Amino acid sequence: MSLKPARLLALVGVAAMLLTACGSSSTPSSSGGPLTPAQAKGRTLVLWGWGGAWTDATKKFADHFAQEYGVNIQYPSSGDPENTLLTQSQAGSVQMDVVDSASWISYKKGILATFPDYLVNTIKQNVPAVCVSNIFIGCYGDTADVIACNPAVISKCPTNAAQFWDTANYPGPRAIDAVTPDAALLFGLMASGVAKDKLYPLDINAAITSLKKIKSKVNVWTTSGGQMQQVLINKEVGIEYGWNGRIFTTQQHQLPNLQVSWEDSVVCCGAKGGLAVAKGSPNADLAFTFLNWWIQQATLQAEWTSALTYPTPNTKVSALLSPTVLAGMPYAPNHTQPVQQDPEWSFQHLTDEEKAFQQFLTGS
Amino acid sequence: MAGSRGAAWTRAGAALPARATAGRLLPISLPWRRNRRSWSPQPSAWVGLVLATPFLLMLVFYVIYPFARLVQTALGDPSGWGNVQFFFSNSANVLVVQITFRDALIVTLIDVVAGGLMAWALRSTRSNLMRFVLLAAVFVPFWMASVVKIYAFTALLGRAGIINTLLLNLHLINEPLGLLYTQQAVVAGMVYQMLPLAVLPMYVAFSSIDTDLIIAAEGLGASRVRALLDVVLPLAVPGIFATLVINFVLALGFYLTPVLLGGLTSPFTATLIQQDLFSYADFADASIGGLMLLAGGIASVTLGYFLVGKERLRRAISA
Repeated sequence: MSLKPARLLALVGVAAMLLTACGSSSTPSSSGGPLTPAQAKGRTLVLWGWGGAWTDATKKFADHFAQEYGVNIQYPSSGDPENTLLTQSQAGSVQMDVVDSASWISYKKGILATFPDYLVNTIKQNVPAVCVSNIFIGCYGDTADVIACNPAVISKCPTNAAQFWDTANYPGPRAIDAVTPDAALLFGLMASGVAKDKLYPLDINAAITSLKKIKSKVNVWTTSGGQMQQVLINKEVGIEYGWNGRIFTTQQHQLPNLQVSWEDSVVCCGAKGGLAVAKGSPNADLAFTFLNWWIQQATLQAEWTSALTYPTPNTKVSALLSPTVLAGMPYAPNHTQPVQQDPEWSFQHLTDEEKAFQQFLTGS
Repeated sequence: MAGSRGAAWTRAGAALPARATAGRLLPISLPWRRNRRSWSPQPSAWVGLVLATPFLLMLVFYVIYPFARLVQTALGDPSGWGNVQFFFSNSANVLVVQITFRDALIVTLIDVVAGGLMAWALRSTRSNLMRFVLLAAVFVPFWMASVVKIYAFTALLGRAGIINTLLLNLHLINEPLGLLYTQQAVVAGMVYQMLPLAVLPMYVAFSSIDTDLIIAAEGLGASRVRALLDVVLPLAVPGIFATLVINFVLALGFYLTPVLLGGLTSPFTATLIQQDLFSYADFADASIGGLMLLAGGIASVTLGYFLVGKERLRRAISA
């Protein structure tokens, strides 16, 4: 993307305000429980997403709610919904109800609403404990970093961080995800033998020291999901630490023999990100009602997950997925559970991470 | 004949300047009225301002306002002027800015030398086939999207790419060479992309040089090399300087090529700006990176302006 994000988002925000200005009506939120279909009838809900296949799948899902409750759902989208919300919040005119989806940063910036108790209770009854939050529908769309290996290029495939670092016994060209530093730093710590429950608070220096040992053998530090696929397909590398969704897609379409190991995988961000409600949303009560309905729809969640190969949190979803799709899911029960990244730690140490990782990569 | 009568009246009018009333009777303007109210090819300042308004508005909205915001962001949160100190305290920033200026200079010099030779060949060839081949070599890549050109380089330079496969099959190497994601790959990709931008302005500049001058110089006893160096080159200098400046400024801001051929381990300032924005949400650092590029661009344009201007002046005086 070579767009200037701030200006573009401002434009998108303005356009969105114009589009939706006449669409929303505000009703004081009823505490205690979700709205009944009779109470919701005729209202409008704005569900702001990423566009493309994402919004298509979400629309297919949420249209069931629209029918059941007799509401009209609008699906505007932008390249980054939470940045759009930030722009709208700063302009003092929030024009979205559900943010599909938001990260921890939005929560720290105070632009997300807190869920009412009834919704938190419904969430607790329907999702694993690691996904429960009163800000997010967690474990939704989470991405993990896994080790992929192409046996056509590599004679002996590493399955964990220590083997990934052992270039003498596991030779071959390698790539590591460098979209943000977190996954690489955690991977480096695991390679140096730090136990998974001792990764946080993250020791940046120790992680960089470990990464320096392998730097000369890493051919590509990938900067996008597309590149993660491209370097595998082009045989630029044979071993990669990259996003599970991209690797799954590559395995499905180009390299069926690609081996995937979840042993030292990391994931972002469990309960600290996902579907959320915008603070100052004109239809917050309806948005909470929607999420209360959404979290219980195991079948529809399974369809959404099958369409996009991103996870959804309902505990019953796993049983409804095909074995192929399930194998590619970060929280699938049949493989090692990935280490949870801590976005709160990253939020507090972003400047240090930036400096250390840029210096490491440029060798300065 | 109306025309000749008009002309006669005009002449008569010129001869009799005292008859002030004559102008009202005649369908033409008289010389003594021309100073007061007549059509002029030069519009008044107000008309000029109105006509220039869209451009001025664009200047305000697309150049001045963003620039003001850039400076504001660079020197705003979190620590004002401290942001600049922070930028330079990160050795990665310092190194990458240095690399950007160095590589832009290398690319510019290679392009001006190679492009100059191509432009001169294009200017002086008498063979239509040669001209066609040269023009195709300049224009076909020029019309191609830069992403396509860059991906062609990844296909060439990759581990399983054309060059490595060829060398492996010829048994010249045993292991694929790491050609992609290096500084050299970035320079090669940029040289290729910028070449048309070096050839075209120099071709225009060379076209205005009279080749008979070479014959004249040779007639006076100069060798071909001496004629080119002492006669043609001084005439071509303004065009060459202008090309240097254009190429250097454009090279400074390259983004896609360093991202796709260099990656994070051999980045350009633009790569770092992208990282600052999308990975670290560090808008101050990104803005200062942008200002560095802008300052470099303005400095080289100013330098080029004085060099080219001075040279033009010298030629004008000696002509």
